[in-house]
Amino acid sequence: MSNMIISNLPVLVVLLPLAGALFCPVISYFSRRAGRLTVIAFAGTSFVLSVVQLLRITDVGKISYHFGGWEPPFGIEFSLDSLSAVLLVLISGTGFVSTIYSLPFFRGKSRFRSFGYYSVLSLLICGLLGMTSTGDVFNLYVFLEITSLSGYALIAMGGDKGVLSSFRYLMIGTIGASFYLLGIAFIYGETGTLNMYDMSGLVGPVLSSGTTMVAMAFFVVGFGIKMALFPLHGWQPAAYTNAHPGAAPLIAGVMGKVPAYAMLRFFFYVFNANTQYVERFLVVVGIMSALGMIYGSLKAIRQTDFRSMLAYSSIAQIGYVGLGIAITGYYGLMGAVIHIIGHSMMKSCLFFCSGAIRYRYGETAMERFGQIYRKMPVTCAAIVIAALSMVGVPPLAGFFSKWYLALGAANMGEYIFIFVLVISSLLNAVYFFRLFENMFMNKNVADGSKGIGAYLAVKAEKKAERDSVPFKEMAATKEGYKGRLEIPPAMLFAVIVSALGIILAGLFNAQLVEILGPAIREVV
Amino acid sequence: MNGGRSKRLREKSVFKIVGIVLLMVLVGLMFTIVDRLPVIGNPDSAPNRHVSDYYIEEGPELTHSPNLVTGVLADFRGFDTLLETTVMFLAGVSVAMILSNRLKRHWDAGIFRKDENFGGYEVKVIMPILIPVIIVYAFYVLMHGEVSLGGGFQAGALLAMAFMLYIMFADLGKNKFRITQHFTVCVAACGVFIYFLTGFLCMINGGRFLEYEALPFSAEHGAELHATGILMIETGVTIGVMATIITILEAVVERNSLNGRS
Amino acid sequence: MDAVNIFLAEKGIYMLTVILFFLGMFGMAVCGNYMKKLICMNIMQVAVIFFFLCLGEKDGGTIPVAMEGAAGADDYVNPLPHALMLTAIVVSLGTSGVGLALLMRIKEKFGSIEEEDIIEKEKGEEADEQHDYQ
Repeated sequence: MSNMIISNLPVLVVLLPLAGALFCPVISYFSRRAGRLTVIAFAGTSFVLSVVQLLRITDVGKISYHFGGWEPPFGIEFSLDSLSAVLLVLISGTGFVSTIYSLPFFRGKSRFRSFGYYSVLSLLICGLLGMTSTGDVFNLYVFLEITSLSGYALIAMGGDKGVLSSFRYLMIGTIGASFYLLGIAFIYGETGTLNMYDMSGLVGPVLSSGTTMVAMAFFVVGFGIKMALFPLHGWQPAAYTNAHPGAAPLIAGVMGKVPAYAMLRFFFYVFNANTQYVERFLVVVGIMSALGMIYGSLKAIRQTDFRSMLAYSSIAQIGYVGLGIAITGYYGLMGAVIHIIGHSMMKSCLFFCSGAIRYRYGETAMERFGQIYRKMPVTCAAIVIAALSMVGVPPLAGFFSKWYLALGAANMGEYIFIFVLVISSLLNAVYFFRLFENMFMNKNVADGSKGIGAYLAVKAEKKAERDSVPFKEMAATKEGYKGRLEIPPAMLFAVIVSALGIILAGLFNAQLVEILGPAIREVV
Repeated sequence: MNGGRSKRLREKSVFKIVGIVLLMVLVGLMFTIVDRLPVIGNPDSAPNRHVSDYYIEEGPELTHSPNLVTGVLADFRGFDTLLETTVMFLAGVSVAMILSNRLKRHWDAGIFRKDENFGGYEVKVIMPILIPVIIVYAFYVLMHGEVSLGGGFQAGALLAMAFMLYIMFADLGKNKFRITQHFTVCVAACGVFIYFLTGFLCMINGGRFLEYEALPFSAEHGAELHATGILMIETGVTIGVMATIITILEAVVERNSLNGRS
Repeated sequence: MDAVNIFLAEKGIYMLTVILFFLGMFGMAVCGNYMKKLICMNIMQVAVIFFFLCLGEKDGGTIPVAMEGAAGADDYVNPLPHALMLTAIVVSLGTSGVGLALLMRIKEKFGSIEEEDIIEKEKGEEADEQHDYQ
C-alpha cells in the first residue's frame, strides 16, 4: 500500500481534491457538515502527500509520471522538479487552510449552497495543482479551464455584484484561454508534439520562424490575461473585490500566480530564454510589469475599500513576478519564484483577515476600521505582519524576493528596474501605513461619530429595519457573533497559520533557496 | 443622463473604428505568418508525422479500439478525458449553484413565460414512440463507441435529450417524474467517480493511473482489458454528461417557474 | 493569379479561421448586448477548433477508423487533433453554460442585458450591499 502511494504520489496529490469534490454532494445528502469535512479531509491528505513528495524530490531529483503507462510523447506526463514540488506544497497548503477558513460562512446555509461551494472550491484546488504539475501543454489548457470555471462560480457566489464581475471575467478569461489554445495550435503545427520536454527539444531549430514567435505572443497575452499583468488586468479588481470572502484568499493569493508560473515554464523550460527571439518577448513582459508595478500601487493608494486596495496591490505585485521573469538569470528567476511563494502567502493572509473583519463587523471600508485592534488583536497582528512583509521589511518573506530581484537586475545591468522596484515598495509603504493609521490611530470611536462603534449603532438600527421585511435570513450577517474568541476558531486558525507561514518563509529562506536552486540552475 | 449616453455612444463608434483598424492590422500580420504553417493536407508535415504515425500504426493493436479517435481520447490521453468530464460536472454544479440563490427580483424578468400551448395531440402521440427509440439508440452509441463513431458524450447527450423531451410534453404541473437538482448532481458525481475509480483500480493493482492492463479482472490478454477499461470510462462519461445536462435544465426550469410566479 | 490560387488551396483555411477568430474577438469588444458577446465568444472558440482540425488534415486520408485494406499511416487522417478538439468542445460548452446562468442572474437583477443600461444602473445603486454573499 505504501509502495503504491509512493509510486503514484504525483497523481494522488492532484486527484485527491477531485475525489473530495465528487464525494461531497453525495455525503451532503445525509449531513451537510460531514460533506464539508470530507472536502477538508481530502484537501488535508493532499497537503500531507505533497509534503512527502517534496521530501522525496529533494532526495531523488526529478519525478516523471506517465499516465496509462504510455511513454511521454504519446501519453500524458506529469513532470515534477523541486520548483513545482514547492509550489504544490504552497497551493495545497493554502487550499487546505481556506477550506477550513470557509466553514463559519456556511453554518446554517442551505444544503445546496454548502456542498456546491465546497465542491467547486475543491475543484479549484485540483485545477491549480494540476496546472503546476503537468508536463503536457494541452493538459495544461484543460486544467486552466477547470481553474477558471471554478473561479467564475466562486466569484459569482459573492452576491449580485459578484455575478456581474464574474461574467466580465468569464468573457475576458475565455479570450485568454482561447489565445493560449491558438498558441498551442501554432506550436503543434510547427513541432507536431504536445509534450513539453519533447517540444523543448524540437522547438530549437524553428524558434526563428514566425509561427513560434506568434505562439509566444499568444502565450504572453493568454497568460497575461489570466495573471492580470498590467494592461490586461481589467477584470481583476472587481473580481477579487466581489469574490466570496471564503474563496477570495485562494483566488487572490494563488489563482493569479499559477499562470505566472506556467509562463515561466514556457519561456525557460520549453523555449530557450537565452536566444534573441525569446528575449524580445521578455523585454515586452518587463515593460508591462514595470508599468503595472507603478500603476497598481498608485491605484491602490486611491482605494477606500480594503479588498479593492488589496486587489490593485495584486496588480503591482504580479508585476514583480513578471519583472523577475524579464530580468532572467539565476537571481531574477529566483526572485520571481520566491515572490510567487511569498506573495501568495501575504495576499492570502490579508484576504483571510479582511474576510474575518467582514465576518464579524460586515465592514470593508478602511475609514471605519478605527481602533479595531482593541477588538481583534490577533487579526490585526497578522495584518501588520503581512503588510510589513509586503513593504519588504527584512526578516519577512517579502524582503527576500525584492532582494533577489534587485540583485538580478544589478547583475544584468538593468538599473531602471531597481529604480521601479524601490518606487513601488515606497508606494506599498504609503498605502499600508494608511491602513495602519486607520486601524490604530483613528480615535473617532468614543464619541460615536465615526469608527467601528458608531458603525455598530447604525447597524443595529438597520437590522431592526430589516427584521420587519420578509426574507430575514438574508439579513443574518454575523454582527451578532458571540464567541469567546475574536473570530470563530476555524478563521483564527487560518489567520495564524498564514501569518506564521510568512515569518517562516522569511526565516528559512536560505533552505528554500537551496531546495529551489537545482531546478533553476538547470535553465540559466 | 442623456448627454452621457450619447457621449458614450460616440465613444463607442470611435472604439468600433479603432477596433476595425486593429482587426485589419492583425489579420494582415497573420497573412505573413500563416504562410509558414504546414500546407493543409500535406502528409509529411510535422503534426502528421511525429506522434500521429504511432497512434495510427500501433493504436488499433495497443488499445484494441478500431476507432483511432476513441483510442487516443480514452486510452492514450484518457487523463484529459477524465478532466473533461470533470469540467462538465463542474459546469453543472456551478450553474445549479449560481441559479439557486434566494430570488430577489428587482425588475420584472418577463422573458420567461411558459408556453401553455406547447404539446398538442400530435406531440403527445409521437413522443411516447420516439423516446424509447432515442434511449435504445443512446445505448447503441455507447456500446458501439469504441468500434466506430460514437462514445460516451453523445450517448449522454441523447439520454438527456430523451429526458428533456419527456418533460416538455408531460405536464409538469401535476408531475409524476420530477427529480431534484441535488439528486442529479449526485448522479453526475457518481458518473465521474466511475471514471476516477477505473483509474484508481489500475493504480491499486500495481499499474499507473488509467493503465488498463492492470485492471483487476481476469482476461486472456491485455487487449480485452483495454476494451473493458474503455467501456467502463465511457459508461462513467455517459452518466456524468446525462446528469449534468439534466441538472442544468432543472436549474433553469426551476428558476423560470419561480420567475413566472408573481 | 496562380500564386493566389495556390495560397488559397494550401493556406486559405488557416486564414479564414484566423479571420473568424479575430472577428469573434472584435464582436466581443464592440457588442453592447451581453448575449451577443456570449455568441461571439462561441464563434471565437469554434475558430480555434477549426484551426486545430486543419492541422490534422491529410491528402488521401480517410476517417480514422481502422478498416480492411488500409494499414499505413498515410491512409488515415491524424486522430490527435480530433481527440483534442472533442475535449475543447466540451470545455467551451461548460463555459457557455456558466455564462448563460450568470446572464440569467444579471437579467433578474438589472432587468436588461444591455451594457449601457447595466452600467447606468450599477452607478445608481447605493453601496449598501456589503454582505450579500450567499
